[in-house]
Amino acid sequence: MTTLRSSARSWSAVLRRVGLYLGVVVYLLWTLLPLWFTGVSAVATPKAVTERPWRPIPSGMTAENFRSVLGGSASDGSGMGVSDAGSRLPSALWSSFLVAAAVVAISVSLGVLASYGLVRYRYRASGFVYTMILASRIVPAIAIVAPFFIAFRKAGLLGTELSLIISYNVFTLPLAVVLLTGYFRSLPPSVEMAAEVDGASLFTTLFRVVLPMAKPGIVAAALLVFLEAWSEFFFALTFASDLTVPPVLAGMQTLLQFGWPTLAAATVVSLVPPFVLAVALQKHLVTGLTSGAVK
Amino acid sequence: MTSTPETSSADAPPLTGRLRGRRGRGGGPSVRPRTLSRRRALTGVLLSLPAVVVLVVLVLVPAIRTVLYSFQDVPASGRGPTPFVGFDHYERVLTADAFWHSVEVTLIFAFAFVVLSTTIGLGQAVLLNKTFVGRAFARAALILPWATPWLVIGIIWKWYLDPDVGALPSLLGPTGLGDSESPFLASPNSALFFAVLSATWRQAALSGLILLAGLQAVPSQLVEAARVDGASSWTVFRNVVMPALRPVMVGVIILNSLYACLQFDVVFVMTGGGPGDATQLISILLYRQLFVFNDFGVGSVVAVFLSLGAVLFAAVMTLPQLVLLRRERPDR
Repeated sequence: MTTLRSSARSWSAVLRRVGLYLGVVVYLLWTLLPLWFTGVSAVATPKAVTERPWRPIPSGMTAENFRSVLGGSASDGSGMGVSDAGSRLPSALWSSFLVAAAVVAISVSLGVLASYGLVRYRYRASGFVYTMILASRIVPAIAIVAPFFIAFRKAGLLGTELSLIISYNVFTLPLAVVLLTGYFRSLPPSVEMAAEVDGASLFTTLFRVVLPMAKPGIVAAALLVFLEAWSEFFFALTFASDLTVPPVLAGMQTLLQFGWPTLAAATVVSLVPPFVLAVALQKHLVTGLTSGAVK
Repeated sequence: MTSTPETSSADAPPLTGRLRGRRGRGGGPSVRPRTLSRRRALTGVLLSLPAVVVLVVLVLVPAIRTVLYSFQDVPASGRGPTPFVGFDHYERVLTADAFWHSVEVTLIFAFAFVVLSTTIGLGQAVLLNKTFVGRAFARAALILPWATPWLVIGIIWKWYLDPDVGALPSLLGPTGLGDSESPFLASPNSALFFAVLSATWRQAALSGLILLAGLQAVPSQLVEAARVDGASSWTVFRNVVMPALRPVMVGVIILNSLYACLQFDVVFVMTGGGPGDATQLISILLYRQLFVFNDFGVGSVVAVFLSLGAVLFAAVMTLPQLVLLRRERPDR
């Protein structure tokens, strides 16, 4: 009787185990198969990519796709340069990087000052100011694009990196403030007080004491801001349609002369910076996501 | 009153300063902490001023402008007169079938997106919270969809579903779902469904990351105690874990609802709103009004409706969770 019961229990434990690993397999397929598909398409020969049924490892592999998008020779074959979208990728990578770096610099430095002030030097309206900054995160960027477009057109900024550096702060600055406020709140104020007692000025305290202590929070904020700037498509499409990586990829997609393997290679290249950053800074990222709650 | 704040404020830590003021020997010294706190407040204002100014210029002014544009005729060049036309644009939008069709498409898309993202995200979080071989790898994998830009997701899934080169139609082939007669993005109904599924791929990962952190914060003694009392795992999950996770769930649903209404990139690059206008979300309609028809007045009306609608939708979607939260914690 007892052996029967215990064997029944162990059977249900085994079944549970099997169910768990089945779930893990389904999860990994759902999460990774689209990325795997893109990765192998990027190295597939034109013949291998159309092979049916689809093979997880293509029968023919080549580096030509990467060479063409990075070397700038991805043309339509006519040699007439009907569209040079393919050759735009290297310069788009550079523009994207420039824009993202500038946006990180602006949003994080203004964000550090503001959140430090809001947390440590409270004033009558600081609660209201924080709520308004939080609320500005909810204002959809899509909905306020028209005034930006007209202002940039008047100022001659359409098609420039500057238009994106300015406009991306619409969503990256509130993000930085929310993340950093959460982080500063979690830091004990005693060390700064000690510095203050020792007669350190506000900026000495900020640069020598607060910033080194808040480094993990600042890294998380910088990372999330970088990812948002790197990924942004709508403003990039409307203000500077072929400057940064996302609109250039969208452009390649609409030009039918590029086969999927070429586009896949360009896609893989565009994913390298965010994937490397995200995996390397995984721990920072999760604290950032959970403390911020927004985004 | 006699002592200057400069000499004392620098070396008095703020907390003791406030304490001293409250005790107040006589009437005099209470002035000192007040000046001190005034100076601290001024510092706070100055520190947050740059960010506030930038956000007023970049968010508040354009938001007010958009509302104004919705009552004006705005030339696309940005030059020339912009006469007020009252509610003309509103009338045009509200009587247009295309607008109401977009509202319907957006509601279907948004509802499916929130439900799928939240439940798949919760499932992923529960799974990754269990112990199994390769868990660290599986957790790291969840970062990747989240780190993928929306636009790239649109591109990847468009080809992933492509009947000629895509992996999914080929893999689903034996089940009959991958036949050329069931054209993933070619027929109106399935196009909307697969657009939702593609966008869900990223949002479920983000929801999963947040909910996993929430699950890890659920006190393990509570779960253990319930287990010892003989509760089944489902009962433990329903009555112990979920109530503790509820506030995080509320945050995730708000987040998913806002993302649902503002979705643009994935659909734009996958279907461009088609076939026909089957996947024409309000955001796509807005883009067309502004940059294809160059109608900034009508476009701004759509923008106003979209912003208000997103907040309203998030509130409605969150309501059930808030009711449950109330019921579970009557003290709140």
